[in-house]
Amino acid sequence: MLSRVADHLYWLSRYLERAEHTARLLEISVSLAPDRTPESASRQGVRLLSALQALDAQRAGQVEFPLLAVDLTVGEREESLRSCVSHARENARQVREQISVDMWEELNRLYLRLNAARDDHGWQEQPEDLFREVRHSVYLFKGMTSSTMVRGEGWHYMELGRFLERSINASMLLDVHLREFHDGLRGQVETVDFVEWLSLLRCCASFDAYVRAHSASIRPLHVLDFLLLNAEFPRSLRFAADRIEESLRRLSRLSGRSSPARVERLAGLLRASLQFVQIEELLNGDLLQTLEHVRRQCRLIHHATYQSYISYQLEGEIA
Amino acid sequence: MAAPQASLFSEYRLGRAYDEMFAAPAVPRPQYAALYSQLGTLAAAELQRRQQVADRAFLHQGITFTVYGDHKGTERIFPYDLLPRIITGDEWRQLERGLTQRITALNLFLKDIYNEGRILRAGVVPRELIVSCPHYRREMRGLRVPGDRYVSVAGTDLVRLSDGSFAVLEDNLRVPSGVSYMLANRAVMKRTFSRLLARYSVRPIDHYAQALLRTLRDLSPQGRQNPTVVLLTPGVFNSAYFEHAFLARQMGIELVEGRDLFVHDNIVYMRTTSGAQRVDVIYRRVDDDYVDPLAFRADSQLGVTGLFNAYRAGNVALANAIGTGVADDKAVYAYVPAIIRFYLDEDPILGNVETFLLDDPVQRDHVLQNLDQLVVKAVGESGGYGMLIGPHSTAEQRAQFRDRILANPRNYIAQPTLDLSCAPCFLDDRIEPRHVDLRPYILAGQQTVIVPGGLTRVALRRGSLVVNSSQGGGSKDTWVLE
Repeated sequence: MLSRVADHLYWLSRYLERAEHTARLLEISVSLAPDRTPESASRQGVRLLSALQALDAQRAGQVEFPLLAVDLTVGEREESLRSCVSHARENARQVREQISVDMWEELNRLYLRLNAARDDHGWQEQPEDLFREVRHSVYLFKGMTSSTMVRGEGWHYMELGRFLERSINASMLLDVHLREFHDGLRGQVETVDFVEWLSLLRCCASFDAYVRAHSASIRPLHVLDFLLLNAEFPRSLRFAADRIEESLRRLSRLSGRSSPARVERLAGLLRASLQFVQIEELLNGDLLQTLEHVRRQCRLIHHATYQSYISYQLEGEIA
Repeated sequence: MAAPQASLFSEYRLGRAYDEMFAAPAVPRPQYAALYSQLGTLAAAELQRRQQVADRAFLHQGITFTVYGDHKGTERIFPYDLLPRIITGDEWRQLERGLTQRITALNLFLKDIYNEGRILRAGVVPRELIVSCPHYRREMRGLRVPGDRYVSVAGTDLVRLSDGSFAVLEDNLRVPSGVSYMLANRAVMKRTFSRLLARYSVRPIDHYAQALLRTLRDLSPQGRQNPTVVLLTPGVFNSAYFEHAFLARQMGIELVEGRDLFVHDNIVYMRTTSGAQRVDVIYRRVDDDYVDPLAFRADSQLGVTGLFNAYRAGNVALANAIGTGVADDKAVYAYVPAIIRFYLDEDPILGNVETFLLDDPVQRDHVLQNLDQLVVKAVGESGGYGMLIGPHSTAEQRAQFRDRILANPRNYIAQPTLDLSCAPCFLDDRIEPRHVDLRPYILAGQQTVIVPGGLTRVALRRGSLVVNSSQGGGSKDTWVLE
């Protein structure tokens, strides 16, 4: 596979994962807004921007709904939903011959929908509908990918991009949440904070799965255990680390190259740091540092992958 | 036969031009009878609905071009006309023979002028005309091309004259485009008129990509089993990018940009996740000037440094070869009938359009005196640019062209203003005739293959003769019957 193609498929997948994440965060912010006081809504706005790594001094004061939601949906800023989808589509456009017609058409339709939403504000009456539409479109895209794409290199670059992005997004979301709600993690949730822990679960698309595992009693310890260390739940950090390691192992084999040991070692370290640890130990230590470690490993894996397969030195490649 | 609703054809006027559909007012030619009667059962609103389905299909597939200067990046589709253009089996067989004859002669001509130059010594084609052509590549002298196939892919523009006969208007022998529209138009036709399509026995065109791939593999350098074929595109900003990606996907080959390729020891490689991989055949959709900054334009970012040397060394094949543009020069065009006679000793099956060469003082005087009735074209331009259409021109425009012709006569040719044939087109809420041409795509491999069909381009503006997409043209599906 062309290195440039691998690069585009990887970013296509990362941007779509980010679009889905952003859409879900916005959808849940909007749907929980009636349950919040104006003051807690504004704090939530700041957290939302932080979780999306979109908070800067200039924007710190502009966290009022619905303006914030509009800006993050169709605004010109890099973090907006429309930007993410446009970037995904640009990457797809560069590799149109690699993806199926259905995949391209779905992504293109989503792109046209968000451009229309920029020019026609009708959606702001019921913003949740648009966010749901975006999520469903991404699901459809992923479903078509999953049911039509050969499990070759292209597929694994997309998987790698998706799970690296998901790990970074989830660890940022947890980070932002824990900085504000760090008291009484071992007990039951106070009524005031209940909505925020609920929101955290829903932002990770994990409320239903959590309830089936732990019943509707929401305990921070269980929530953190579920979101960080659960091996079977596809939105946990542990699950993502497994997928990353697996895809890198496959990529190494499919490429037939002998030198990517460093990439696999990094992936193994990330997985091990989430596999052989218990939530009690993490709570005794520095949870925020653990989350920071996950993000750092993800960045290192990204760079090592590029060095091994995509932007390698040509010297030494030709016998 | 149900007569179409009066309103649909109420504005349909037959003119001097040959009408593809009607032999006489309200009398369709036999091949159009079923379409005509089908239209009799449809209301304008139903046609509008199908038009929307078609337009949406193009938009969603991203078969679009970006409107320049629009910061929002608005994308528009190329206009598609709903109604098919129908060619009978007999007409097609004649075209097929004529086009095969023509491409065979042109390939022999290219081999000759870059090697022995027999036709030049014989004085059939003036040597001066060839060496003054901007697309003549001295670098190609004496270089052997695989199978002597200089042109592997051609897109020949045909027009139908008032007497119903076809003539060649232009040979496109460099990087002809538009074949993806031929294929996309058929795909959309299947969604809008599927039953009608099934009732006619229309010859399929879906095997184009397969035939193209075979043609490209035929060029593989000797001793390379299982050659790696790639399509070289200038990139995503090129207006034909959709087509490049489309063809690469259909053929299952890599779509590469210049930056994906590099040359080492006269061998071309691409950068892959598994390391460097050798490339054997390049279907390049990049013009001669841009393929190699070392050999041609040094400022080009699109090509591959050292590619021409690898080509000279015979380690990689290019389709089409470098320097084929000399054979589709608009002035050389006038000599194609003579070229066919010279190499094949046959009369041309397909005629040319009468062409005046402005180098020649007698022809030049005639043209300058009749500028208001002729079409003048710059030989180096395409896409409908650099043209004077006499009957539609102002005195000022004619004066400008007179000066330009006198300053550089080699750079211009003139032709009579043709009554291109007309085909029915659905416009807003009725059907009207519009001028059309036809571009079939010819694949010259070990055998010559012409997929039965082509791109019918339409001058959508009433009375306009310019079919180019950059000038308000559109296209329609082309049916070739058994």
